[in-house]
Amino acid sequence: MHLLWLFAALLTLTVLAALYFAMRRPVMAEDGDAPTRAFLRSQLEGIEEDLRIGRISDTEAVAARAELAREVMRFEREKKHEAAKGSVRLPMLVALPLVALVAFGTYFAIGRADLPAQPLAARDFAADQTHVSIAEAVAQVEARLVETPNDVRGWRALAPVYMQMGRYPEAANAFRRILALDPPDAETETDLAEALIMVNDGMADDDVIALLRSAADRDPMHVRSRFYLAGELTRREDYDEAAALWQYLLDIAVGTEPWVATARSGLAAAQAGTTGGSLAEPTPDATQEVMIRGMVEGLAARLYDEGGSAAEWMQLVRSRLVIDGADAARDDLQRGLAELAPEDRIALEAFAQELGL
Amino acid sequence: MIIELGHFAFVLAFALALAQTVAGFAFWQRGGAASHFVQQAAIMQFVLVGLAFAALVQAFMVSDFSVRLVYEHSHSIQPTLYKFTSVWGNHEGSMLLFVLTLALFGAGLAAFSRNLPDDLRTLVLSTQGLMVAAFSAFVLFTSNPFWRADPAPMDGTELNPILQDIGLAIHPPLLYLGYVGFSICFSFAVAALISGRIDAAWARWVRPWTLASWAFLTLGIAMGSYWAYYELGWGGWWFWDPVENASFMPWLAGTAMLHSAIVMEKRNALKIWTVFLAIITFSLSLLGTFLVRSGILTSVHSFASDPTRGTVILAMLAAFVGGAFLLFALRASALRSGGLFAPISREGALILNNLFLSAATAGVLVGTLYPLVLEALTGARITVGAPFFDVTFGALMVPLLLLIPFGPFLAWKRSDLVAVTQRLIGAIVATLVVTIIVFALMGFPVSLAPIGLGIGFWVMFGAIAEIADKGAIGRASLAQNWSRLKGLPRSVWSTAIAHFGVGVTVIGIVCATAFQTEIVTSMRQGESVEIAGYTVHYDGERLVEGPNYMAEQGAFRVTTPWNTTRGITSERRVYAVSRMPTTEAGINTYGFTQMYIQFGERFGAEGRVVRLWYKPYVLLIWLGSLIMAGAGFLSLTDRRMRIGAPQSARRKQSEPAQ
Repeated sequence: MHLLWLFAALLTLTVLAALYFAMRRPVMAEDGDAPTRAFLRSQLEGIEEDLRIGRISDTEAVAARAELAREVMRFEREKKHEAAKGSVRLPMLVALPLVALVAFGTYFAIGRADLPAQPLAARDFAADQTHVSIAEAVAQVEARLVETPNDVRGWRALAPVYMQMGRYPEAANAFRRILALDPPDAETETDLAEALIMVNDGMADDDVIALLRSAADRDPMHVRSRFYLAGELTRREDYDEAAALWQYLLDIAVGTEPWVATARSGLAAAQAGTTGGSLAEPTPDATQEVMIRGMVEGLAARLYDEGGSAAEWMQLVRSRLVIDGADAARDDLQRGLAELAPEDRIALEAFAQELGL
Repeated sequence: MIIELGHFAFVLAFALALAQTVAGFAFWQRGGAASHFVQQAAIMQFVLVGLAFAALVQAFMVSDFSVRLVYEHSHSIQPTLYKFTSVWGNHEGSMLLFVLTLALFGAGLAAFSRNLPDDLRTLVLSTQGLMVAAFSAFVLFTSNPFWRADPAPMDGTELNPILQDIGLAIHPPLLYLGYVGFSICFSFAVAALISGRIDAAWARWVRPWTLASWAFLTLGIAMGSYWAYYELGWGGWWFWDPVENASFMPWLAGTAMLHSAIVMEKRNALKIWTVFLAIITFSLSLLGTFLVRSGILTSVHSFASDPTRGTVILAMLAAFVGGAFLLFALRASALRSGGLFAPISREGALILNNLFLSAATAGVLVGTLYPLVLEALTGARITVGAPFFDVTFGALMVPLLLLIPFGPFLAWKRSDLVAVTQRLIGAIVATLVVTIIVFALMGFPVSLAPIGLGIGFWVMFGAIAEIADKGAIGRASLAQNWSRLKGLPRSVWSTAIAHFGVGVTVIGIVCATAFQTEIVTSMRQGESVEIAGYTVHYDGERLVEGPNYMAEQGAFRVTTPWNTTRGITSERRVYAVSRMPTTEAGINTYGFTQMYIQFGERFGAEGRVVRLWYKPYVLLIWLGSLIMAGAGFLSLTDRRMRIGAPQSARRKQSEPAQ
């Protein structure tokens, strides 16, 4: 940062030199009254011009000239401009170093000469990644949030990371803060519901159902909340409503979504329950699978549509690896790498390597 | 390093402004070295603040999130233009722009003031320096745009999506050039009061600065109004919102000053009043800054403001305005009163103009401050809405507009109203004929609209009549007409053009208010709606991805009564980072008329709420403002604005011929 001080000093010297030489500029034997004389002359020209273009009549012009003449006489009488009284150069010279002193003093107090510029393009996020583990990064954000608990961006950054780390109660808390700070939306409500389900070891209580219902009401096209809701209702053997929900999901689907197959089997299970058929009594395992699949497909649908954070893509890739195997996981990984910003891509790549993909 | 160097340059500018102020006030009578010093300091100050501003721009352009302001108001995926405009799309950056503009006008005066007496120039620059110093201190110590963030965040929060528009590149800089430009007039007023020199010459010297500021303010307000019109999606162009009023009050007072300064320059009268207006105008600018920045008002302009800053601005407002008025009270009585004149005269007309404009300013001021004062005193929350302003302001504007055409025809000192009316007979007849035709075309409705249009036509025809009269059209040969018109000073042309612009704006306002049609309906894909003879067909919606937002875009086709069809799209956007929704109105322009479509929420399974406005001749509102501002700039080029400059050879030759 020595360079900064060098440039600052140069800048100051340039400015002070400009001032110094301006002061030394010879004071011409200026007539302090010249501007006023010039003005009065232009007034006279104005009268002549008005007369020429017919804006005033001859008599008015005579009166105006007379009035101007009185002005000129008064001006000559009251003229008080005298030659400059003595030089003020010395006190002014003293001012120059004072300017430098105030500038450096003030800057010293409030400036951050120690901080280099950090343009985005020049920042080495890969290096940042190796230096800072996720746990450290989380700790940093947490520390900042203690000071600024209303910084919704902090909570938004933390929540998915908590989910990924398996810290579900913290994740639920983070999602609650987001809902309190920002206008509630279907995504966040579903996120919170998801976190609460994980806290309760995969069980959804009435609060969770209420959250999912609220999310579904908020957005007629929201898939993930309905998926959870339909799965949970199937599990609770509320087959009528579950079947209606599965049907609704299939109705709004284009047909190519990866979760359509799951929704079909969910619908089949619910319909079987409705007719009371023993044919396909949904075993707990089956509904559990429907639920898990629903979660994963819901997440995939969202990430494919809207993109997401590196943490969310990691979550998807890992889940997919467990459910559908390496090939399916690799598809998600490719898509994630394509969607993510360069600095986030590094994290996802490292994660994939860990998983052996 | 560039950021810190910019920060340092700004601190240096602050120190320089302090020196300029102290040296200037101490030695203003001495001329010579002190005068040169103050001039040079004013110029260097502008260079330094300019460097600081450039450094901040650079930080925004490269997304350097180690600058807190960049982190708080920009984002790496924002389009380049909005990274640039984000610089002033926030409190700190816009205050830096404020100081930059103050310094710009100071430097401008220092550079282009050879025709000013040394002592006056030094005093004006010292006052200007004092303001630069005060506002720099405010920026440095309470709202510093160079504050850093360590460690630097990964990415920024985004610029308020409503501000992500080309309007932010145009409206604030223009508005500041006007708003802050009046600071020079304020400095001139303070200098006049200190030196005791208030005469016709002073009015001449301050006039170009008043004109330039006024023209910029006109543009700034007009652009702000058009921006609000198309961006906020309410279809309105003026809401009597306190923030709008804050910019409108200096404009009204500035317009009054523009006119009273003419009397001062020509007749050496209205001097105290003109100085008073100069102080009032900039005080209203400062009041506007305070209202907008203190967080007292909530609007798109308030950004994240905290009460401390508001208090500091209030203290500065009190110091500057209070100081100026104290000076005024001490010195005004010592001023010599000026030339005498009869009530029916050019002076009299300009005084009437000033009375109406000042009363209008006061009306707007009361309507703007009353709710604030009431809330502070009793805690009661009320809003003073458009009906109050429409009635108060309208009642004051009608007589003023009726009088406009008379003014330029009246002679100085004493005039003959009957003779002037005779010279205006052509304009009167034309106005009546056109108004009656319009009235008949409308089917003689019971409405005030034809009268409003008549007033607009009257102002326009009055302006044309003035030029025709000066050019002796109908009284001399065509060749003589032409040479007389060519010989008219630019100030005559600009007066007529500006007044013509007022008429154009009035007609736009009347048409857009009285004849607009609004429909709120729900539409499904494939449905059509009729509005004012136009057919609007809804083609359906699709998702569109912008650089940093997703939008639901409604596509419409508009078929005009004369069977041409053009597409129009209107969007509802959600910005990726801030998750904030905005609406983008779809606007088709037909001549001066616009079709305005706002794409609303979902309605039922497939429908959409759609709001449509047919706004006849709405563009005239802003076109008239552009004409007014253009006339202001034209007037700046008038020969007499450049006194002291050598006269052209051609003119010297023509003189002996007379």
